[in-house]
Amino acid sequence: MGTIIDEDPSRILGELYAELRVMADGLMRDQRHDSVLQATALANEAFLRLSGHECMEGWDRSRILAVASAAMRNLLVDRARARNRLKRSPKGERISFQVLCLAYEDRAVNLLALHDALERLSRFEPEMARAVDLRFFGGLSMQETADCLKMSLRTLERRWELARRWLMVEIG
Amino acid sequence: MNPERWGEVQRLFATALEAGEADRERVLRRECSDEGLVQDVLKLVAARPAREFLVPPRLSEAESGRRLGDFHLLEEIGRGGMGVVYRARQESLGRTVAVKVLPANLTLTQRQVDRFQREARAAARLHHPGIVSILTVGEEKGTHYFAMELVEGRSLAEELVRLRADLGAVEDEPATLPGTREADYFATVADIVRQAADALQCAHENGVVHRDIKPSNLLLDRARKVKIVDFGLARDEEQGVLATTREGAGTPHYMSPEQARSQSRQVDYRTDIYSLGVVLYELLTLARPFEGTTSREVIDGILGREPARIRRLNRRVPRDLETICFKAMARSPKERYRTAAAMAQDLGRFLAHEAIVAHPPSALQVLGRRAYRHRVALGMVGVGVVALVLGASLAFEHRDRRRLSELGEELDAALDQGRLRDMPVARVFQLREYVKEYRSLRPQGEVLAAEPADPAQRLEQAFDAWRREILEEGKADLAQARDKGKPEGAREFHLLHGLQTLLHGSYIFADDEELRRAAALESVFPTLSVQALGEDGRQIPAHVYLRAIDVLTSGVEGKVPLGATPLAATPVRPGYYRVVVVFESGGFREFVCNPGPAFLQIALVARRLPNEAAVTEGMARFEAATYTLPEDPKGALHLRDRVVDLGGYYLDRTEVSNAEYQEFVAATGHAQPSYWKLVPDLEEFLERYGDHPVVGVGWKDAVAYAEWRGKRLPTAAEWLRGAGGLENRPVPYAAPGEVRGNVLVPHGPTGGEEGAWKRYLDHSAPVLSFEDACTPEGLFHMFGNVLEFTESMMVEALDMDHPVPRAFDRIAFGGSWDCVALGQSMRTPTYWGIGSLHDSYRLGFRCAKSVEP
Repeated sequence: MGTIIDEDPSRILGELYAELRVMADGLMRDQRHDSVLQATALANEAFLRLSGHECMEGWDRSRILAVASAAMRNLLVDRARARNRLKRSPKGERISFQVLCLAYEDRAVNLLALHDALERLSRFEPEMARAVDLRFFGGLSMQETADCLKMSLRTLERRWELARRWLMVEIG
Repeated sequence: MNPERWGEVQRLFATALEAGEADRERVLRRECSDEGLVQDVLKLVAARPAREFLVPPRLSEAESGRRLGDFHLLEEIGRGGMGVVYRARQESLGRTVAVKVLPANLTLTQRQVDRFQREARAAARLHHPGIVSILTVGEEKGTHYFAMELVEGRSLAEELVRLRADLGAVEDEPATLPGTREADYFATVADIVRQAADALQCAHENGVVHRDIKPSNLLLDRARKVKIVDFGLARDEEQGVLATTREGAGTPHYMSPEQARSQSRQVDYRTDIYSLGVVLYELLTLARPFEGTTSREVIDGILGREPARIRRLNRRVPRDLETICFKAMARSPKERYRTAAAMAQDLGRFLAHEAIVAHPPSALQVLGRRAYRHRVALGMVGVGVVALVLGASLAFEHRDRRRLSELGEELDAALDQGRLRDMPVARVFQLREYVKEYRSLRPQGEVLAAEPADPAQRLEQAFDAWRREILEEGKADLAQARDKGKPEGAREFHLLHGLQTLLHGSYIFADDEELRRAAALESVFPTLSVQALGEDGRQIPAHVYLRAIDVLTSGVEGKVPLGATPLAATPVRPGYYRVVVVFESGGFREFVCNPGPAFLQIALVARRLPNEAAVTEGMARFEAATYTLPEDPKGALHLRDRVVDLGGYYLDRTEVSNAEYQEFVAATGHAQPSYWKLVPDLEEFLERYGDHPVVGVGWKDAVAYAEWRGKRLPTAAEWLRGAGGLENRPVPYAAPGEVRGNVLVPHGPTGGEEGAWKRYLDHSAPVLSFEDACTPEGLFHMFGNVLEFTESMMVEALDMDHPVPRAFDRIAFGGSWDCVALGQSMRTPTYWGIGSLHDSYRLGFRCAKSVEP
């Protein structure tokens, strides 16, 4: 498993993450074909399933989104590592998921390097690391990302650009 | 990297982006002493991630691969106000289009469906290059969609994000908008909005109102052509203004006041004009006129507040664009542009001014500009050389042996530093002076047995060798330029290169006849000859320097030494200059000249006055300062906000009077002022009006007078600073209460020359009058009485970015007795030709002089 950016070590987080992974796995194998495979959908689903749970107090949509996006990232990274190891796509994977993964890897330049670089970024610029999760892996718009991070869109755009360049330089 | 260091990186990154590319490193090193940090920031500035880097991919599985009617949906290309837009293939015609699909789960009432269809059909009727054409409207199993032309490009909203993040141009991306600091940014923006206004006009004529004009609905294709999308289809008025909060939907920032009030009956085509005005505002300032954290706040702003003035947010915005924007954004629809076409026309006029003012430079001007840059570098050394020259005269008197050995060492070391031609020109001049000085202390031939070889001689030989090289290379180039067998471009290159080599050489070796002749420069370049004469009319020793004048700021550059007098016809590059003649026995003279195609041979005579020190008696002294030229709505446009480094200078306390001018006329036989021919008795006139300001003199006459007095005319910046101080007071006197000075005469017709002269006699005041209107330094009549010439060339400018100097016109400031009636401030520039015929009954002048030559 990958690391989750949120530092809350509560047990519920572990459950949540497991739940999300199950859903993601399910989407990979399920016959259902009418859902959008992105963290926003995952988050909505997770929220619906887990709301009402007494330990979910204090969890608002933003927080779930943050975790869901991180989960999405980890999902993709795990898959990329698995593919590197096996030298081919894992069995049973749906075509559409492969296409999605390809799209992500294409846009991330080097997904595994990005993952490591995000880890480093989170040590001194945790908000932008979270922004990358929300925006890139979570599929949120810039405005939605800004809302989640509780900053103005303009501030986000500025800091996003710098973080983006730093990541580019790091990934090389 | 830790949070503190990252904080520094962020700060320096912003600073680096603000500085231009050329200054970046310098500015960074000034701000930060940590070289590692500087390098990090530079790396970040240079980083160019691809457009898709970290942009989430979108795969809407449910929809893609689906068919809707004749259209086969491919990939999603965007999400709009109400629905998703796909790239799709039209099967029957085999072309790629865009299809917008309304979400299936949106329950629409029959009324809404009818409305949607009706508006879609209306939009489909619109055929205009600026409007994305609707191809067809359809419905399949409850899903409503319409197909439109596919536009390859980005929306203005995306462009604004890029501009705000200050990305500038990126190599691997298609060119869309130029950076906000590029010269053509405003023209591009104006053109884009003009295109949109044109398109809106077409829609309005067909009875269609868009109602949701905003940057995300304005697409830009690669050729910077605008296409408006989503006519009347994205907004459902009946849902209410605050209903939607999703991305891009219902963003209230661009709504007109009548829309914000939800008064659907009062919303007509003029709401589009308002919204387009808001888009223009945002493009000009990168900020929206009304912002807020909630929609409610934004709407309150639209309804109740005034937006910040555009030029306050961005000083570079041309005034015309600000005016256009505010007219489009008038609160009351009645006060906006009556039609979108009217707005388009105004923008067209603004753009046409752009076209008129810009001229392609001629070949000579190009050479002149190159020379100008070159000259600035030379000028830097001026002061040092003068000091050295003066030092030489002293050493000459004392025959200091220590000095001789110092020089000897310098000269010995010099040749070990490398070839002369590789040294900076400043250094070369320095060495030439050293050689001169050395020779003056130890003339050739006076070799003492115990002394080592003559170091000056080695250098002299090196100079000779270099001089010969220059001649040879220059001649070779010119020969190639004359070779008719070569292609045009090559010949031109050789001509310019050859001339440049020889001209450069003739700067270094200013007294070299052969170099000058070799370039045949007399026929191509203007020449300057200077003589210095003493009181008895005999030649006296002096040194001549050239200082380039920046016509845009009226500032003066550093000195370039031309040589000692008498200066024979020395080629100078065309330009506007101040020639300074420094008399060896003390004092100096300043001339203004404009060598160029119209003035090919300029001969100046500097006459030393018996008492040079007395020249500045009674003048007000202004210390050297960095001066920012004033912002004045009635002032000279091209000077606004320019910063000039003013050297110290003196300014006459009064305008030149008739009596003073008469002294000049009597002593030199110069022509009388034009109006004096109307005077029956000169003596009587001078008795009564001798202390009134002289008028009826042209600029050249004023210059001649000033030179005769040992002075010159003030530059525009010097005059303005004298009038309003460094703080740019609106009027000369420090405490404006009521209007003071000779400014309040009502304007009236003159009725020919005699009428004009009569007005002068009636309304001009003595030069020493209206003391309460003086400046704190005691300058009289800077505002009013008569207009005053400056030395400075007129610059035609409709905006600050496109000034055009007018070589035959000069600026005058100050207003005359009727300036208030004419609505002029003391900074309102008036323009006059340089010839004697370009005089006026209300135009005179005062003199100035530099503190240091």
